[in-house]
Amino acid sequence: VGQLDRVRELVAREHGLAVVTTLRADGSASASVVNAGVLDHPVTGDPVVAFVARGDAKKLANLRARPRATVVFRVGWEWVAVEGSAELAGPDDALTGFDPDAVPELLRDVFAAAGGTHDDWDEYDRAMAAERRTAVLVRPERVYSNPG
Amino acid sequence: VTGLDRVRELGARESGLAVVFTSRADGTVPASIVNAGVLDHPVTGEPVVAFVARGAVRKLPNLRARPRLTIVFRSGWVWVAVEGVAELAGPDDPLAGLEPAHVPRLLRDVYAAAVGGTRDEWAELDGVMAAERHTAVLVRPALVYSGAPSTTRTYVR
Repeated sequence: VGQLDRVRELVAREHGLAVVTTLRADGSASASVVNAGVLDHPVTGDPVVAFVARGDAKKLANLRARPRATVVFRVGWEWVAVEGSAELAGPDDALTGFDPDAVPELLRDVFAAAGGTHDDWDEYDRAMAAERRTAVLVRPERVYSNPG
Repeated sequence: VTGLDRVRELGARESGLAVVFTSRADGTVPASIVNAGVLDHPVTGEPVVAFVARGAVRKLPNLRARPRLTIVFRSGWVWVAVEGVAELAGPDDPLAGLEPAHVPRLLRDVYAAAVGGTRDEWAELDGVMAAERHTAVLVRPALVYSGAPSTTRTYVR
């Protein structure tokens, strides 16, 4: 968990900005940038790296077919990479053991873990639902960074 | 080539810092950070995205076996990704059409494009580059795309 503390520190310094890759069918790595953070898995309680994806995002299609992601946080020269299997929880992606009615609250939690705040959470919930946004939870199976 | 202009612009703002993704044999995707820049391919003259890898790093065996890579430049919310097949030019990786004697000059050019400074200034490090078996990685941009992350930004107060 020491390395995840490093993730938390970099999240706080750079709005949780992270480069994420998912896998296309041909095995190539498709990149995008998200706001991500660390939070406890809503079912297991284990810390995971999480972000929110739009329902029509290519990365979500990739993750449904090939549920694995690499997430890299960088602030200047400092960086930490997290790789692992990805679970989805959203309007079109049921997470085993998780109540679908709790999706809006989970999306808020993920947003807050990435350093986001909002004046009107009801409005936030509506926007999330309209875009069929889904929480992506990455189990930190490999965590590494630059030496020192 | 507008995508590569974006690479040049973001590179200039972040000392060329970029995240590189290669592939392991099992299909998983390791990441690392490099200084990268845009320069003309030493044989074809086409613009390529390039960085230098030390001989000992794990991404070199990955690239020898599976030369496709993804490299992402980000400055704040703005980013650009370049994907393509990597060619290697170094002491253990001859590049077709490039004389081995010209590898040191190529390494200097890549460092100058990625980090800054001039070819002549980097010549001071020829000995270190040779001792550490530095290898140039040249990526012909097959796919270039960019963006700012999602509308989530509009929710941040």
